[in-house]
Amino acid sequence: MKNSIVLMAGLLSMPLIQANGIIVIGNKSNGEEIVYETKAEKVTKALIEANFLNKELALEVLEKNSSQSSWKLSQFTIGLGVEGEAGIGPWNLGLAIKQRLVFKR
Amino acid sequence: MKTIILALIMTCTSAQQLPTDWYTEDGNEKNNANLSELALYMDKILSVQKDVLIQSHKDIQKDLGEWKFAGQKTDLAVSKSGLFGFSAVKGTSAIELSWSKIDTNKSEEPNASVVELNSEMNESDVLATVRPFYKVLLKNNRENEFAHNSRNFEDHVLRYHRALKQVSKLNDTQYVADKFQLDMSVSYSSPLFGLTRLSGDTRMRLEWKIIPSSLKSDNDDQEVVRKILEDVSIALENATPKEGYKLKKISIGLGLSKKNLLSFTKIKGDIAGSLFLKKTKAKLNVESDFGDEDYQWLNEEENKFLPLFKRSKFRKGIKKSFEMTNWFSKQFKKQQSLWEIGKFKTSYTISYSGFFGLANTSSNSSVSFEFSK
Repeated sequence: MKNSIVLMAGLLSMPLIQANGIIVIGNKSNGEEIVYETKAEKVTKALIEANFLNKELALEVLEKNSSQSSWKLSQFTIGLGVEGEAGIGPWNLGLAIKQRLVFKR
Repeated sequence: MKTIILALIMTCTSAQQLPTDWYTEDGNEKNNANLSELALYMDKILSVQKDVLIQSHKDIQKDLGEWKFAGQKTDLAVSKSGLFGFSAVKGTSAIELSWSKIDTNKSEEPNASVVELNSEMNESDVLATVRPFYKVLLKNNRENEFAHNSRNFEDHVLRYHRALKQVSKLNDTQYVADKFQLDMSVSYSSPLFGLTRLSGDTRMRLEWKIIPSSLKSDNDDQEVVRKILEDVSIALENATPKEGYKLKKISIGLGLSKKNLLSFTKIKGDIAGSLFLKKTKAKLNVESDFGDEDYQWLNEEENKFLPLFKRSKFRKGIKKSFEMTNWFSKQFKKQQSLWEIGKFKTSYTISYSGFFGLANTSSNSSVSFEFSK
């Protein structure tokens, strides 16, 4: 019985992995693994917001590239996850989903 | 009570859990019982990505002028305990997905940062080719750091070059060594376009076209390369990609041992290369005298070889990895939309004992398959 209570307490103290959740997996800067679960709707919303921010950055870059460079860029990829508002997970974990947008001429 | 709680945990986590023999480096248990649940979970992950594309597409395309939004790339990861999900920026990817519109032209993506070399070049030409590139990478170094780093860089490049020069021509294998890629990364505070917060590292990729030597080497320097070519040829003899995908690339991670040869070491640190194999039209000659010598792991710290893993395990692992990749291709094919996964890459790791599993957060990939439509 004592073991069961300890086990139950341990279970309640860890993040519950729900059947409907989406898992995000990454590393802290010290290399330690982080596993975080969130709802699919939250991931969708965050990625759409990240796409919006990435698009704004992409426009700046493409404009600069067109006017300053003598090289003709044929493909451009932007975004390795956007931290902050559009990231996923608790901010202190620094979990930002790896996602890149691809632009072509 | 314990049983009830454990059952509850199993029920809650099973959808996100890979079969144990897919991720545990040391595991050899067969446990494919939860594949149907994993397929449902996979469907949910892919639906999120598809929804994001459908909902973002119009907005992203607006004001782009002559540019077109061509698609998105995402990564999936595996935790140490076998949970499966989206990969975060700081993490090891197990699967990379490239989404594109069904009607777009899927031409090979250009990669402007590749420095092209070939295994027959003389050493002074190799150095003359790479110097301008690494000088840019190291331009923020202080003078003494620059001298040290450039010596270290040139030493590595030349050691790889000498090793690649010795790759022998083999007639009996279906796969041959095609090219070798070496990615160099240097912490760099002034990235291109000023997008510091998006990427802290700058990478340079050196790519050697391998021209196999017709002179048979008297020493064992290319032992590992020869074994890989033989084993991959045997393991994939009857392997066929399914669901409309084609096998585009196979790469095997290799490092350098202290003896100046390409070695199947556990690869750690910034400097590690990948040997790419190309399929030839040749049929596997079953009468060939392929060896049975096992692989050796080199312990760099102690400078000695560790116990061996069996070639039979390696061949079995390659075959199993290919089948796992085919399972993923089946899940990708199920998605019906204007957007599709046109290309994907799966990465596997090998344990010291020779077992294969999808690369997880604690491992580096050793074998990769790239499939595309």
